[in-house]
Amino acid sequence: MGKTNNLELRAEIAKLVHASGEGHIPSCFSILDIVERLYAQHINRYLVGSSNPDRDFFILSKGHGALALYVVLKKFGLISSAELSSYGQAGSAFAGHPDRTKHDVIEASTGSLGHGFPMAVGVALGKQIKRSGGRVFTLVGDGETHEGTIWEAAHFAANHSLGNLVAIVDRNESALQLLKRDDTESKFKAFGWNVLSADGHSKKEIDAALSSSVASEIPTVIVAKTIKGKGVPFLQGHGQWHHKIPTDIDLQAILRELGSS
Amino acid sequence: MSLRGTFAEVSLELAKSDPSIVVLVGDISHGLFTEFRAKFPDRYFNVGIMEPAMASIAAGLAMVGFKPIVHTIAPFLVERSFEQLKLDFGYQNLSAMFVSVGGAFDYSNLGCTHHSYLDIPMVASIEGSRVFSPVSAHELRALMRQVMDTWGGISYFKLTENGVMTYPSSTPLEIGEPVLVRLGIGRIAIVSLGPTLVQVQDALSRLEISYPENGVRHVHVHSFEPINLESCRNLLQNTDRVIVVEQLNSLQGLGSKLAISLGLPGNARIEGIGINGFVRDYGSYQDLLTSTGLSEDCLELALLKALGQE
Repeated sequence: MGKTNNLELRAEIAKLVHASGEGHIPSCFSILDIVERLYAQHINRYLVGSSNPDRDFFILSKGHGALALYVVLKKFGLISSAELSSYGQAGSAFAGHPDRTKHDVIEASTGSLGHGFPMAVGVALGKQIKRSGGRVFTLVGDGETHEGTIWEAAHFAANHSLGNLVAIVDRNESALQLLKRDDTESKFKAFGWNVLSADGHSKKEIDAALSSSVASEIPTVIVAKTIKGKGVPFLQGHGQWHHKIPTDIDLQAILRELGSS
Repeated sequence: MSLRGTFAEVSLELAKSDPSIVVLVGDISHGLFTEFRAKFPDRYFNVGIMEPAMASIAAGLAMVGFKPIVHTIAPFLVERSFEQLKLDFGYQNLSAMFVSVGGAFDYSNLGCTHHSYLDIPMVASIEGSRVFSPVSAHELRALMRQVMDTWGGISYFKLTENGVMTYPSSTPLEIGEPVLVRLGIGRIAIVSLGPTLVQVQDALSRLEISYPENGVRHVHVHSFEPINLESCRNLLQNTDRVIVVEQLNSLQGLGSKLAISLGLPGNARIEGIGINGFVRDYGSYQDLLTSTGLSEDCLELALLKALGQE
């Protein structure tokens, strides 16, 4: 895994966590590049937040990566700078987990793991029943795949040939530190899914995987290899930084690593 | 016809005029939905044995405009899947109809795993939910239709298989409104919730023989939430002892709810006959009603005691 992309978005995340006292910086850095590619190239942004039946859906099942979603939404003009700046404040539509009841561009309220993925299956099923267009993307953590509902819904999705569904597993090794079997791909394969792999920090590989999934008549999973805390070495891994709030000094160190100020 | 049969029949009737209705079942009652499946193959899913995912999938369907009807055995639909009901529907302001089968002891001999006496207050704790315990086809039909006409939030129907009675179809029914079944002129009232209507009516019939002057008033409740408290007060006025009978946990049931919120005047008091703790016994439906004090015999004795005639 090479250079770090989206440095400015990473810096924005760190600053918002510092200012608000809430957020999961390493988890956001893990998924940021995937979310950015989704909205940059694969989701029809003009229909986000609309009631158009053919719109694409993105459900962030890994809800604690919310800030990665928010900064991308702001980058593409789907929320305003003022809305993003309100993050974590009383009355804001945006805080540590996404809440669909507070803003039209948020598709699902998540936070308790194992909910967003099966809801995405339901949305994909609904589109299939209505024969409407658009695709349904959901992003789950690899640790989240320990939840039974993931596999219940994965089984259902394959049996109903939900080719309009794409799940992305943020394989940042949260799961591996807990349970050592490294078989996400083979499990999804056994469940009847179209299984792809990608470097979750490579624009080229993420775009290629998301593009190739369009042709699939069965649900696709992209197992995206990522680094938790990508871009800032001292944040990386599964230690104290998972839900740690940076001090003023920490923030300066993070921004230095990101080449920001 | 069983309540489940009525449920399937009404679902089909509703689906004919509302293309947004989708039925999800957890490998139960599929025989009753044969006609539904034949008419609407795209809107009927026997999801399999995956109750929490079934609830979340229903939430996804609701996100794109469907009205899901989700059905399986009560403890699995509610207790196993409670977080899905709470978060995916309650928190997200999404709507679905959940219909369970299994009163407290309908599956009496299957033991604790299939008993269900916590579900109603659990669902009622979710903001915006409406919770019903119908005992007759008339109630179920009327309430299901009213829910569809006022779609929103969780609606939960707990269907029972034991003690289903023919409720007078002429009785007007409205969501939240208690029903006066027997106008006693005495100071004691008995309130039945859902299937306990059967045992309460039997106990009162016996009491007519053992103590004809009993004067006990009988009010029946099919809507646990919402419930019109003003109507309850009106129906219970001039009584000073109200006995609430329910196949629910006593601490979380209708008796507790009315005791906290009804505010009866003077020295009037509300007491409950319900289920305390876990019921670990096997036995018939009647055996478990007896052991929990909810059989018609037990209720007759309780009423005689309240009347000072034991």
